[in-house]
Amino acid sequence: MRILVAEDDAVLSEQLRAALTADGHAVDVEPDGEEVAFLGATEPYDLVVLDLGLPTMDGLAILKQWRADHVALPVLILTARDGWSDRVQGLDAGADDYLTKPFHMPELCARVRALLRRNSGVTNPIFERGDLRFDTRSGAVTRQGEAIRLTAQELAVLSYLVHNAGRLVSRMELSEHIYDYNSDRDSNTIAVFVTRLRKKLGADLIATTRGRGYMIAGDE
Amino acid sequence: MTSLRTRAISGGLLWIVFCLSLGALGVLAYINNVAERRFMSSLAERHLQVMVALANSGAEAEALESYLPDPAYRRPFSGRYWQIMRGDDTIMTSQSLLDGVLNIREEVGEDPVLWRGQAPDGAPLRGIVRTVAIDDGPPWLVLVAESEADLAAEKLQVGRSVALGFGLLAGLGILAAGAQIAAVLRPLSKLRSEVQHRWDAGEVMEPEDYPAEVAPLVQDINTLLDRNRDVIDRSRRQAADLAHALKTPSAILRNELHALGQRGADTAAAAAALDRVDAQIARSLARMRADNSAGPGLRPVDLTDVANRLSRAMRKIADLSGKRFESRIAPDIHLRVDAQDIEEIVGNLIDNAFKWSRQTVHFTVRKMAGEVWLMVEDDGAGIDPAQIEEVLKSGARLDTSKAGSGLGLTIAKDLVAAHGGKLDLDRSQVLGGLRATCRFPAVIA
Repeated sequence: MRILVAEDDAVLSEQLRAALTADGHAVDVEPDGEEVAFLGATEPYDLVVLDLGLPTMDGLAILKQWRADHVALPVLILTARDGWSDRVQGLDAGADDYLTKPFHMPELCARVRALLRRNSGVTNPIFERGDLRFDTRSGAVTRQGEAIRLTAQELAVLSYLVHNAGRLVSRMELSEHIYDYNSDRDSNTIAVFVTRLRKKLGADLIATTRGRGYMIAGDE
Repeated sequence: MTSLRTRAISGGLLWIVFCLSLGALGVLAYINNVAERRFMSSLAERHLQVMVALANSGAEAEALESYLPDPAYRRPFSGRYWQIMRGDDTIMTSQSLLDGVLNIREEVGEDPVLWRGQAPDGAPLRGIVRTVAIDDGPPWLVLVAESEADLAAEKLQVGRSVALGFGLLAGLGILAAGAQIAAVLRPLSKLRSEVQHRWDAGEVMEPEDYPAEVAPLVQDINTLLDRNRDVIDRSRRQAADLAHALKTPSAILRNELHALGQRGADTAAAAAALDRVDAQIARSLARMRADNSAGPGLRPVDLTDVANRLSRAMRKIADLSGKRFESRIAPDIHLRVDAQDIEEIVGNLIDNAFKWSRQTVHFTVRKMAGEVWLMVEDDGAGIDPAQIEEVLKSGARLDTSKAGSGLGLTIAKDLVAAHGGKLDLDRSQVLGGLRATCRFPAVIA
């Protein structure tokens, strides 16, 4: 899943990038408020971690503008303002969740996963197909009870397809959601990741419709 | 300090009494003077009449009386008398003296002299006496006297009239002064009621609506109120800036410790120290907030509105954590508090309720016997009544199994107290867990 981290503290934003990347997400970091407003409205992010105290444009103003423009992407506010007043304002302006600094990184990652799940209508955090088990909370994958190691990209592809189970996902869309802004988006490598996933998780998990894309079957 | 009204009334009264007394005395003195002169000129006139009668009658008693037709000379002790003497043997008197004689001790010449004496009935008399020669005989001593009783009665009558007149005048003056004082003081009374009313309505007082003498005071009050709000706003901004300046580095440190911990380093002591730092920051910021609350001149806020907004936000949080949140908020409730502080109080209470509830949290806002009640109830284990004191102490945590600074209830309690309210903790009748009730005096609309 592709996440925008809008945070003006360079050290903290790198920590967030590292943690979220390790969690299998493609992460863009942007410290400037106006740029964040633009990116959120134009790039296909799955979630934004939004600091309220950004330079050039306040986080709350960005959020209000997105909601006014019907930009529906999930927003997790991350801020040093710990007052309930700010929290209420943020949630009322359309934020989906709110975390105050200082925070525990595992909690932030868990909240991000929960929001992503909720936004794609996945109610059960455990995805199961036959002997395959994928825990969307931890990113752990087991087959016949044995842990399977996936690379970050493989995890990203699996995660996106699981969150969009029952829907055909084009290679273009997949690449937009598993690569960050600065990556070389080679949609051909997607085919390589899918092939590797089929090898590790079973050939019939991901269906291919030639020329249109991939799909994991939804719940019956 | 004596009130302006008392000062104006007592000052006005003294001045009115002083002026009118002086006026009354002056008028009285003038009227007495006129009465006195009229008395004397009438006396002189009568004396002349008697002298003329004496000359024309040739000193014949009967003829003399026919020349003096005033019936008062015939009525006994009427107060008007005449007496004519020559030597000690010839004496004629008006019939009003009956057989009495007026006593003349003075040496009398041809110039009229003022005579004072007593009538036979004891009444004080005043008269004019002189000698007059008729033909070539020895001179006649002619005395005409009149009782002073009528003059005194007239003076008394005039005095009463003057007193009544000036009394009426004083009454009118006092009424007018009262009206004038009321008119002068009305802007001040208006100011007082308007300060209250406009605070309630959240309006600004316009100095132009007041007289020139009061307008600067209104301006000063406005400035003072503005400055007060500024100070509170600035302190809050400073607290927010401080929070931002401290919390981001703290978050960075925490993440570094977490990363080190994952690589096998023992970070427990450092993490515990960081927890203490964070708790201290949270506590200090909460105290700064409570200290900057409830300054004078707070405008009443639409509590219904604030509570509904809070409920919307809380419902989102409840959805995320899989809890049930229900709110019942009465319409049209206003409270003279800071909206942010209410959000802080209720936010902390509901947050605490979510933390300890099994499934359900209720939030109720209603009016109750002249108070506004904000109630947060949960279906958790509740708090033992014996431990309620303990839990409201700063940072006290009865159960350390869940994360938190233990400050939520303390912050809520301090803020409620800063706004003149009271926070009670007891058991929820409906849900069985903790019930936190904030009670504030209601604003009279």
